[in-house]
Amino acid sequence: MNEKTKLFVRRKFEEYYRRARISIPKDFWMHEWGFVFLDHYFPEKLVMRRHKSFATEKELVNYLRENAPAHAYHSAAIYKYPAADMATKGWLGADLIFDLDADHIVSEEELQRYSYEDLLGLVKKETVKLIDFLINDFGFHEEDIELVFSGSRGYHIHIKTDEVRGLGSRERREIVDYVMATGLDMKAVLVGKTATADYAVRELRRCTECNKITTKMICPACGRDTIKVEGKMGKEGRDVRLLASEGWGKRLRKGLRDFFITEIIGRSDEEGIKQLRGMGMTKEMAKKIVNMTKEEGMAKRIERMEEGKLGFFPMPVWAKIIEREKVKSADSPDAPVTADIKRLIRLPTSLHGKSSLEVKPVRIETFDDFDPLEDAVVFGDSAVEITAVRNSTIKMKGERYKVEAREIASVPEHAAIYFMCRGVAEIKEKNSPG
Amino acid sequence: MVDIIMDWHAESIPIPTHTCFYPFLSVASEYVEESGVTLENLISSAVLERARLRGKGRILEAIRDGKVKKPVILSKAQVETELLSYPFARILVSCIGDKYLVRRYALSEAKSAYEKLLEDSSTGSTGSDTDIINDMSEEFGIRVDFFRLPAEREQVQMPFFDYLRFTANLRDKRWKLVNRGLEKGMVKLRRHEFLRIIQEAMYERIKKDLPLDVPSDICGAIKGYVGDIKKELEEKRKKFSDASFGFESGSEFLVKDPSCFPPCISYILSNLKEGVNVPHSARFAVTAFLLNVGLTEDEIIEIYKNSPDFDEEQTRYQVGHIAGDKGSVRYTSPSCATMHTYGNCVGKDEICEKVSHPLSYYKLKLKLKRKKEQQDKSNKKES
Repeated sequence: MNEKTKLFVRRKFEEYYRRARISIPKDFWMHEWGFVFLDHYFPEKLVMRRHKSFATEKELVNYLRENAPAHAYHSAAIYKYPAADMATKGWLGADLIFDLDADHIVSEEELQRYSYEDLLGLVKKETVKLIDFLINDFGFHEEDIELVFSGSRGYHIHIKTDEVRGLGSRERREIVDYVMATGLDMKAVLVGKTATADYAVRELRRCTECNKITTKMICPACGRDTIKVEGKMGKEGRDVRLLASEGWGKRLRKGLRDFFITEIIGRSDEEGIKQLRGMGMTKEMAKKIVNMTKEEGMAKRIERMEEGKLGFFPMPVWAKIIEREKVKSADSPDAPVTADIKRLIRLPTSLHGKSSLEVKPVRIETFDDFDPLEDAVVFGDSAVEITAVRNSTIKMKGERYKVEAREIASVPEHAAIYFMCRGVAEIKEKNSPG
Repeated sequence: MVDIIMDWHAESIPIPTHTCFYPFLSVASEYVEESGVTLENLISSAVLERARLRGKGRILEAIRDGKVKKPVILSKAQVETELLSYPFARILVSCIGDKYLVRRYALSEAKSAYEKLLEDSSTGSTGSDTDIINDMSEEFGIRVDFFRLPAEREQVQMPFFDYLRFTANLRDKRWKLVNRGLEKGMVKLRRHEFLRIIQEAMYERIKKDLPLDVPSDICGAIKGYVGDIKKELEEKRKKFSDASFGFESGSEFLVKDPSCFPPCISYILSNLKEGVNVPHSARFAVTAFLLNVGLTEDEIIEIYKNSPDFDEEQTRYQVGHIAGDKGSVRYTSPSCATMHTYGNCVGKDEICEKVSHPLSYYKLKLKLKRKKEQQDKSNKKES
């Protein structure tokens, strides 16, 4: 970003902060604040000015107006002396923060393959899952869950009730582990017994090669096919494991059902078999299950899954269901963000200096319809001429913009500022030729 | 059956017998406060010698057995002795001021109270066990509900905030929130599980404020009670350092030489020795490391005996698992990078700079040490 572009962006950010209604967090005077300015270091070097505090709302708003920062943050924590150095701040508590970002969901190589819009879609899916955990498992009220678009590739959730503020780092870690299924022990969710599961009884089969009796489709001794013979193993009403009705047990019930409905029944035979084989099943077993789903009794079977009454499922099946149900992004192993009780988080309604998008609060009821590339766009439509530095494309407000390196383009202000902040374009030199 | 007895020299304060089994509860301390016994009386009155001896006994039992036995109560006087012995024991522990003793004592008191609770809860000897649960929850400010699923035993549920607060030191995976029934913010528990959590709350309560800031003249006045405790504590320490680490065995000296252990491992070991509760990742690291350098499972289990939540059977199972018993993989201790990720990389020194694995550190340091020893020897010969 050259100095001229920087000045242009800065003027635009100033305009925004002059007109915007900034959402001021409750107890803002107890938070530590941090900012990155559009100064001569930016964006090569991000210099964080932290350990700031504000005594009045007016002071804070004026500060934003005067400095029009590229990035604005406040601490998750509240402190006795928010402006003191870390050791003497006097920690009083911290909001519970979740930071869902595309980087944590897909690997670095994969990241290149997805478009920005796709990534936003992926993170949204994880965010919906997280909100469901927070409401149904943790019992938070919808009005206590502040959902915010991060201004870049993710969403933040802030919870500020008195109970969460006292939680320590370890306790927060437990909450993250819960939503990410870390340390989930199948033995803990497969509980109790039911005496009604007659399908615990297995038919006996005989190997076509070595005559061994087994319950398997394939002979465990020699690997040949087996055929059905008279007789059954196990007795009627044998104990069968039951999935717990709360917590992860409940999620796995639902997950198993959803998996069968969408990935097996809802797909072609080949796809269904492929899915099951991917879960460590033999071809024969996978075929058998796919055929089973077409039988009349399948509705009943699905009902049983919902009740948590199960036959035997091998571990890879559970691994797959857990993978589908857990929140993938809430944290990465070496960046325990939620558990970090001293971290900084972006100020909702501020601007994100790497995208020019607003860090936008979203209502949970309207989350479904929320489109950051429409709803978090704050700049206008008047045409701005830019010189592209490299190839890039973005769809904003329903319109796709594509620029190629060295190309001069005239695009609406919001797209122009987006490209500038991304480092894709500079403002066109007025008098330069071409 | 709740037995109410009257105290005869205080102004008739009724106190249920079973309160004396839980002398750290607020009703017990209120009783002591209102009984008119002053600190002066407690440390010097001849009438209260039994209470003082029992107080000393509490600590000795804690050091020796990790438990404080609950007496059979036959008289009102005994209830009072039991109740007054507790504050006296706290004063004694504070005068000695040893961190290990504080933890050991608090844990022993809490454990024994938990066992008493379990017993009462199963025999219903002090009213219904629902009453016990209600009393205890109220005492520790936990909001509990009871519920019953069809064809199941009654269960207890508590808010997950409280659950997390009180299970912070329980490292077994069954206590992890992810493995609990959690619905609408409430964690479902069996009764005995709830009581186990109460043990944690009791432990925190007992440990709180210890050691107290006791004026030196008071410590001086009760010096007579301290000697035996210190002796017992010393003995325990000695036994522990002899038996636990097993590094002394002369022939194998170089095979397991703790002086060559990396700082991270030494740190965890010293915490375990002090009875500090060590995170799971650190326990795993130290166990795998010690197995890798050749300690036996029994030797390692000894090390864990000082841990606040020691459970021999569980420890044996877990150590065995890491050692690769029963067909599981034999684990190698985690690398420096992993140690760092889990916050277990402590006290980095110059040898650390040259290695990326705690085991490499150990090998390297052993090599350097041998080299130095040989040099010293040859220097001696020359001179």
